[in-house]
Amino acid sequence: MRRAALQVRAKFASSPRRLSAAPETSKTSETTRMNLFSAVNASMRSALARDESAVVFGEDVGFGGVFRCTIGLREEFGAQRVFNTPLCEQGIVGLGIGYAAMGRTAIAEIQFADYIFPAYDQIVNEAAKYRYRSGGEFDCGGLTIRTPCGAIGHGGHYHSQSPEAQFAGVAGLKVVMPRGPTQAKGLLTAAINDPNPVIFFEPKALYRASVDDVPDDPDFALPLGQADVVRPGDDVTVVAWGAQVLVAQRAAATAAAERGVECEVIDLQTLAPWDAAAVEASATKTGRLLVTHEAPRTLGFAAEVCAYAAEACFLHLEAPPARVCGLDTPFPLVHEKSYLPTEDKVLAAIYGLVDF
Amino acid sequence: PAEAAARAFDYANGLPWVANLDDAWVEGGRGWPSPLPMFWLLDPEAPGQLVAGATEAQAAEAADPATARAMYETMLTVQALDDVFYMAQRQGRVSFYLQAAGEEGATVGAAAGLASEDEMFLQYREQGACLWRGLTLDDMADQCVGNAESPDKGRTMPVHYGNRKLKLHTISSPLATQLPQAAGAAYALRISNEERVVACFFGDGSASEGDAHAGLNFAATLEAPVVWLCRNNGYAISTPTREQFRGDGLAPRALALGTDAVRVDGNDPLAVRAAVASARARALKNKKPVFVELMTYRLSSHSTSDDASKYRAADELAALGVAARHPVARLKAYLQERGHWDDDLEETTR
Repeated sequence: MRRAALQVRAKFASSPRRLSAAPETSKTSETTRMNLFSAVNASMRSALARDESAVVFGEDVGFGGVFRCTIGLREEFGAQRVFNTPLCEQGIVGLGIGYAAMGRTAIAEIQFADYIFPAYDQIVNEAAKYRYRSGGEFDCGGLTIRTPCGAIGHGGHYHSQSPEAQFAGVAGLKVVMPRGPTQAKGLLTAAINDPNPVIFFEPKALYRASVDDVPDDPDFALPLGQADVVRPGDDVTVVAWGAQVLVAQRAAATAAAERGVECEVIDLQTLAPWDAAAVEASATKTGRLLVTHEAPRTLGFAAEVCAYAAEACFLHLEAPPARVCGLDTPFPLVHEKSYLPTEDKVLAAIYGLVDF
Repeated sequence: PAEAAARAFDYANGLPWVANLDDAWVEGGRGWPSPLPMFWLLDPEAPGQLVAGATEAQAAEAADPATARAMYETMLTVQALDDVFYMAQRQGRVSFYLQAAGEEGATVGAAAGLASEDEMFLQYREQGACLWRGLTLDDMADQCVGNAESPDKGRTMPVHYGNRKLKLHTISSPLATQLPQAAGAAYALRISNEERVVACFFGDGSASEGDAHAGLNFAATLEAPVVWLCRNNGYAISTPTREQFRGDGLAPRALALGTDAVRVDGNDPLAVRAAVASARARALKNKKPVFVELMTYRLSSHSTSDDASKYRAADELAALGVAARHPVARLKAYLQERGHWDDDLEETTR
């Protein structure tokens, strides 16, 4: 019954409007075509089934969640394991830390990444340091924090932010962001299983619009800390994560068609720890690096990648590393298209590297 | 000076009191007396005597002679420990230290009212509870010095104790962060049907943090069996409670959130043990949090980085009659009056 429902939803979601089609995957009977929120749902379902200590909690998760990620979970696993909390992000994360500190699995939801900041102290000063400061006597490795992030077309300042860079530099945390449903299921399962606190950012624009053949295996996991080369190429390395990977792929397709420029598009997938070796190998090969993200340019995660590439690949670079990012302004409403690192901006930067 | 004294501690001096614990408990979420009455047993004005209405049976039930003696010895250990480490800091052997002068009864009494298997979250002035639990002087010295024997491997500041075996969650510097964590830990205990509670210490200043409200509210709504232990000692560094809040202490906040609460004289070790033991029993029976407000007084400066004489009048302590309320003196008088202690024991123990 559930599978049929997912397939029905997938039908509606299978004509993406602004995002390009999901990547090619094998359509064997071991996969099910589903969108990103269904993939997240599947990962949590298997976590709850596999680990009797696992609990899912946050605002409005009980009825299914404002993005449907937790749909059906309370009905299947009960109100003790899938429950609403009061409206208080610092409480949600603190609760999760304490629950995980008892050696259990806590899957916390922050309703929008824009609202994660009340919990910043608990995340940075407590979760990230719980093991280190106790010399390993205690840890909250069983904690995973999931939160929707990114542009959605009409979100404005407080429903569009991508704050990943404000967590990626905090030792003791892992930061992960999937680009599609298969990655969402595989990376979330890995995040839940990982014995460290993980923040899992879910690009909300992809919840319904991104559809893929997702492996049915309830234990399907993708490794954290490993980038994925989604499009091989010899001319320009383009690094992105989340929804921006699809923008990068479109720009890469246009560059190949228009000027025969072959871009190597890399999805970092994990920002902390990030796969510097993969980027180094690619940038050494191509000599041209572009990093692109929705978050504002200044001190966004592209700065870290570019600084590293300048150190590691300096003698191999044909041009300075380039960044195509959101503007250094709060995320505007009607001006969203001007703010975002759209395909045309990415394409211009690709050509800029080639023509340097 | 008299006004300063009144500002710091007026609600305890002017509080109604009761000698019956049943009369001190107030049900959360319903109308409550204002100000909340304070439960005590040991008369601070008459050393060795019980307050009017308290019986010897009550006192013996609060702590039998052996337990009361053990509590007293632990309180003396707190004093000795604090003296040695304070001097070590002044000598440059330890970088920092926090004394618990005046609060020995609050923390030792509270720990004595709990069970050894209860999880414990701490703030930073609960060395009495740590000692009662079994943390050794060597453990504490290792941590304060930051040597290779310390469980935190020299990573954290002094007095940031933690011990997995003793279920003492490692102390962190940010205040009140432990409250939502205690709620989460207690939720874990409840849904796996464990017959133990989480005890969570915090001070009157920490209670102003957003995390404190979050912790109290989450424990209440999720029905997590936390025994909240608030040491209301009159100060948060230099800030007296009148500048920290305008309500009737901290217990009414718990009541407003639907949590049962009791206010107790934190400087009466017997009353503290009785109140915390009854709190634990209530939390286990109802599978809900409970709140204990320990009215006490911080005799020392905030820490070795602080000099209270800069903001506290020299005669404030005398004006409050705090010496007469000192937990060590009161418990000693109680024990001596009943023949469970004498001056020879005092000398050899010290």
